[in-house]
Amino acid sequence: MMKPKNNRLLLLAGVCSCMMLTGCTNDDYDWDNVDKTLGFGNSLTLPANNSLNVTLDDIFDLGNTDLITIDSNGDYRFGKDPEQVDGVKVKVDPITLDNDLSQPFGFTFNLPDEVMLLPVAVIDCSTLPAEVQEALSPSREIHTMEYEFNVPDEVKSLDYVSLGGQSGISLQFSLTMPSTISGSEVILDLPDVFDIPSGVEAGNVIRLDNPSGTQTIELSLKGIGITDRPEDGSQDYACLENGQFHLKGAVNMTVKIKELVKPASPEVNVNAAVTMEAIRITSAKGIFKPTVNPMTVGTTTINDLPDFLVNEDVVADIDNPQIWLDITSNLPLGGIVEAQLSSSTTTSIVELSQAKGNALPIAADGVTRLVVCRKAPANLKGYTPVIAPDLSTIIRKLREPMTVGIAVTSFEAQQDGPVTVELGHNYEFTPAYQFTAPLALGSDARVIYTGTETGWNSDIDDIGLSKSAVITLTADAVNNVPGDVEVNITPLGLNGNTLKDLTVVPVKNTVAGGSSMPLEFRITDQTGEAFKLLDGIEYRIEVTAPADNNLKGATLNSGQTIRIANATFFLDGKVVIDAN
Amino acid sequence: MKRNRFFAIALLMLTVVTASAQTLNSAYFTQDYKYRHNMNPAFGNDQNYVALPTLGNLYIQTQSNFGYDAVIMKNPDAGINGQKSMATFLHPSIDAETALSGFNSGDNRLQVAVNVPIVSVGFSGFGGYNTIELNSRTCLGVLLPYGLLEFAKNTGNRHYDIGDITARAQSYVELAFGHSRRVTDHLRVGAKVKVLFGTARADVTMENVTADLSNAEKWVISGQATADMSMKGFTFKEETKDYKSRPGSYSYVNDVDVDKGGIGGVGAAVDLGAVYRLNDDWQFSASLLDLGFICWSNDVKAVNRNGQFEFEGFHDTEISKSSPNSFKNQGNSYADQLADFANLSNVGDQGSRTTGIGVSLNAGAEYSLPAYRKLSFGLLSSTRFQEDFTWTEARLSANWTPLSWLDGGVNAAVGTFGFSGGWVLNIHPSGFNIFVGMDHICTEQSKEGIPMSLNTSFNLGLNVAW
Repeated sequence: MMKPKNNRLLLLAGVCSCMMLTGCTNDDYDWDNVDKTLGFGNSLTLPANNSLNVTLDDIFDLGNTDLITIDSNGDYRFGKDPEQVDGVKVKVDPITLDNDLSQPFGFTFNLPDEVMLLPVAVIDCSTLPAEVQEALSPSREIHTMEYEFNVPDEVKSLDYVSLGGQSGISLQFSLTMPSTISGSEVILDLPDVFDIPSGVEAGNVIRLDNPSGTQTIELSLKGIGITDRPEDGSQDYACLENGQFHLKGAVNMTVKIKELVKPASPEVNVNAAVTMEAIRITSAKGIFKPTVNPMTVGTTTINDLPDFLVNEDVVADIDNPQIWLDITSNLPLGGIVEAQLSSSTTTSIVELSQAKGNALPIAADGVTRLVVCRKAPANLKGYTPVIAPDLSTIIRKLREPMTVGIAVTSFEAQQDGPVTVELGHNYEFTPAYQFTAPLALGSDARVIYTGTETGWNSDIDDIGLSKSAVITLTADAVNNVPGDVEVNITPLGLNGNTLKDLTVVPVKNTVAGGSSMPLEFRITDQTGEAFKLLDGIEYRIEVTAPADNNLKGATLNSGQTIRIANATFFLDGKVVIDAN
Repeated sequence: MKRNRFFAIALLMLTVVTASAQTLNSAYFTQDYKYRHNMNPAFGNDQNYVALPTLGNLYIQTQSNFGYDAVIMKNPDAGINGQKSMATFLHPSIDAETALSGFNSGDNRLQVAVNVPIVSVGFSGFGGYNTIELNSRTCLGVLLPYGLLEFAKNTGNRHYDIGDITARAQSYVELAFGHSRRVTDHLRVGAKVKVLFGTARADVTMENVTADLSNAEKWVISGQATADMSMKGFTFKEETKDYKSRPGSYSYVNDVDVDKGGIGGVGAAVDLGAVYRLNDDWQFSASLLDLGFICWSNDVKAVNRNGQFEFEGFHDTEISKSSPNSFKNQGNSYADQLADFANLSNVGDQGSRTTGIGVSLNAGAEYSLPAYRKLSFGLLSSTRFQEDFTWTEARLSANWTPLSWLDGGVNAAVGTFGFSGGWVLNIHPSGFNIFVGMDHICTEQSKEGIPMSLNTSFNLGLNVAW
């Protein structure tokens, strides 16, 4: 049995042992109470000489658009052919004159006393004194034709009117001569204004020797010559006065007795009648001012815009848009066309007018080649420039879909002299045009390309930045594009939303065209939690007109580059991995 | 994770057996501590003993030259956004100086050793004292150079000479026959002969690791990784993937497999020891332990295909994703390079290999107080030679034997793993023996029982003694 002293000793040893075995437990060191957020790095710069080559071909994704094409040399070209082109019709209404019937006309004249007193029975009038002969040649106006009618407004003056093939004069007269007149000559004098191609002598005179009985003379009329109204009141004229056509002409008959047997009575009776067929004026020579009804002659529909032109902030201020016009006209007179260009996305209208000095001159009966532009292109290729400085205004705002149209508002004929116009005929001038432009940036132009890179979160969802960390991205940018470039970056979270707590500050983000400039971005995680939500970025590249005047008007080319060189990434802070 | 399964196997052995007796240096000078012969085969016991199966010598030892509080420390952002009160040293809000202050400026080591006595018998006979033992011994060590920790915590554009990163595990069963006897009035000698049956041996190293981030145009990280596994039925399991940026494919180790297991190697070792009593006051002793080897039948090796990873940034990158110079394709090229550097590829069984098991050298001096013989003071120098995991300590102890059946002592040590204190209590009346002791007193531990200093040993034994 153990002694009490030994028991106490053993007990003391046991208690000390237990205390030494266990030690003190520090509840602070509880694995469940340990934050397993890990931070790596401090001030760290990734290896430099990172470089990035961006060509315009990378940025300008044309997609399925036919609005932008690339030439064989890589130049971008803006433009599209129209889907619909209508010609402009011009005509002068025809003029038809009713036929004119004359009343029978007879006249009587007396043989002069000298003849009656002649001792012979058969008298050769050629042997008689001139005054006696004159008395033996009575002349009477047997018919007067008179027309007065309104002509179309397009007719401003006339020099000559052509008549249709059916136009003509039919002269029917019966000459009742006493039997004592054994030789005579009838002279018919028709109005000088008629253009009778055959069957008459000069001065529209018809001579009939010894006519007897009923005579019918058919004459076709080619045309009517236009004269001024005679001041002496003579009756033979055809003129255009105050929009009215006046035609007045007399048919005179002269009966010239050449031989007669002295009658018992000196009275001689002559009867005649003249009929004029309906006159249809088929063409006229003169000065005309045909008009057109305002109409749209061509429309272009744009359905598919490339990505870099769809942004609401895009301003398609093309440096020199051009409309190459081939206008074919069969109108025998030229003139000036006024037109309007419009689009469905703006209320602005581009006017081509005489007031602005850029109306479209149309040549007579031929092809007119014009190029409507902001400034004359270097290679006109035989086209005449028509300057419209505001031509880009109708396409500044591009939308899908949109239409651009050309409408003719007026036509003013211009003639140096009279021309012949077929009346009632539909003349037409038809434009063929191509809307095109080298893609060069105008002063207000703004092209915006946005792209996204996403899908990062699956790799970095546990990786963040320490709250005070700043990532500084610097680079040298060499901009070989003839446009000033601005780059902005927006961090995106899952579902594409913007991460507001992950700020990207563009310290230096603009590079002038044709220059080398530094870029700098600073990325800060405001909360220390935002970087873990990062799924990608949206980058926005804006190209605007270059400030460098030497680059203005230069065409954008698919091979032009923006080179990012010497890119460095400096992390001031820590990369944080959430291992909780 | 699967790729660390071989570590898991070693740790599994560690946790399952949880048991006993390595060597309790605190008991080196404790009379009739039944397992002193494990520290010096020349020591005998006054009593015979038989260990209770698995309870005869419960021993767990961890050694480290950095503390738990070097890894886990107060979180400066505690309470902010729900952050917890503690954090790892890699927490972003802990500055580098504070975070690294708890680590050793050289190599940071963590070692675990476990011995499992299956059978242990000691008896007097044949003119001396005899022991027969069947032990399972496992040791595990991880060595992290300070440069690695500094690189992780304070990465900057500098050159880092990180050095070698090593992990090693070894497990074997030893059948030991020991005998000690007095050869003169002053001298006692002893020896053990051990037959070793190797279970597993794993050596994973990454040699000459450097990280050069100082060059403005190129980063280079280099290191040659090798894994040597010696274990019966062991194979690396691989997965094959295509390279992302070039034709061809590569295979990498993503798992291990052990088909049945068993004895993977055979070896032998000897323990030698001597105790010399100079006079009634002084006694000197010395021993050489585990002088031996294991010859393994296989050496399944895996290496990284490329000992270097170079990162030069992204050059002439093009936006077009189909371009060979796109960001993605250049990234894929780096990914392939990283795959070759960071992944191990099975190169197959290299045949047999022979490894040492780690030699220990103990040397002790004990002084008994002439005025009070029940009290003695001892000084023990222990050195274990295990290549990168070599350690040494000097331990000064005060040993008290108040009763014939009651021994104990306290001690203090200084060595590779810093300062520590230990104690032992040995109760050995006739019929039974119970002892408890620690080479490293756990003054403070975490809630999970992890000692704050990461140095601990605990020894508890139940034996039948007569």
